[in-house]
Amino acid sequence: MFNQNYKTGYSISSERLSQILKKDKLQMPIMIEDSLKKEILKVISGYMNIKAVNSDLRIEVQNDGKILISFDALADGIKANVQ
Amino acid sequence: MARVIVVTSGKGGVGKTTCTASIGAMLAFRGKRVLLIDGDIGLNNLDVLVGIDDKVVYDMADVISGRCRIKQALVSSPDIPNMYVLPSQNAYNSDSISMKDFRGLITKLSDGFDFIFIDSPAGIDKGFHRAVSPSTEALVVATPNVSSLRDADKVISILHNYKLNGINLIVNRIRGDMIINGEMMSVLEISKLLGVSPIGVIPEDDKIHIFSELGKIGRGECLAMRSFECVADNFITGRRRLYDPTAQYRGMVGKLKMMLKRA
Repeated sequence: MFNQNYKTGYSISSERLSQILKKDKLQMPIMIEDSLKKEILKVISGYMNIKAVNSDLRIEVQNDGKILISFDALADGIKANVQ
Repeated sequence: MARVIVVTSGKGGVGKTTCTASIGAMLAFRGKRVLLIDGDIGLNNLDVLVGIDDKVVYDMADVISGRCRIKQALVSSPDIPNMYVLPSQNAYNSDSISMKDFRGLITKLSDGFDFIFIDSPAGIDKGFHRAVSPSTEALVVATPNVSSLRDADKVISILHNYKLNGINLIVNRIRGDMIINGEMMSVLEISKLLGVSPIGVIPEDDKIHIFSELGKIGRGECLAMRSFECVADNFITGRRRLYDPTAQYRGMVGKLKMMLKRA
């Protein structure tokens, strides 16, 4: 009863799952980037003592290979932009 | 130092807590010192499944805030020697326990046990990352259906970003008759699609439902429990002996069984 002799044929759902996973793999970097962005935002906002909901972080890779990190924040009615 | 294993899935309701309690019990019956930690803060159920819910006085939050010592919060299982449970906070605010505090707690507990299992909450939010951060290994639980496996695949991708010694897979609630008919994915197909080799295959078993309702997970005899014994052995020996769900449906008797089941 305990062995590894499984049926090797394909089931009705495996092809469908395979397609879904392929699509998900393409979207995965965006998902990770978004999640990372949220975490960085929390840290910066915490450091600057402002609410994360009032701030935004943009990460752009420029043509010369430089990474531009832009942080916009709204605190006490004053809008600040740090690049 | 304990092997710290996070039990996760992505999707809820696939049997993470049942697997945590059952594998923990089987390892404890084999003489290993086991600690089960309920990482699902606010929606904790590990204490209910193990049957120690009426013994919980202090929880993880009490330890972290210094209201009690670690030993005071550990609850031993009445009929499983060497198995302890650290209950989680039964409160809404899951942010009350930080990732740093949680890691510190696991480090303190690590010397006293052979295995520490962290029952992760469903999803991939903060609670998931808090459960993974102190872990040395991961155990992904999935059921053989598209939605569960899709979520498991995402979780595995995230787990690869952590420095883990291994990512193992448990395929839960599998049915041999459906695999033979091509209506359910086989373990081999699942393993290939997820790129993770299984450490356990657990069959669909009504008795597991009864045991969990009675708070007697890990005790009692049934096919699923025998499969959990196999998983525990695999954890100790490093082998990969798996339950074959199709075995009982092969041959003349097997075909008859399948016909009766479908009737």
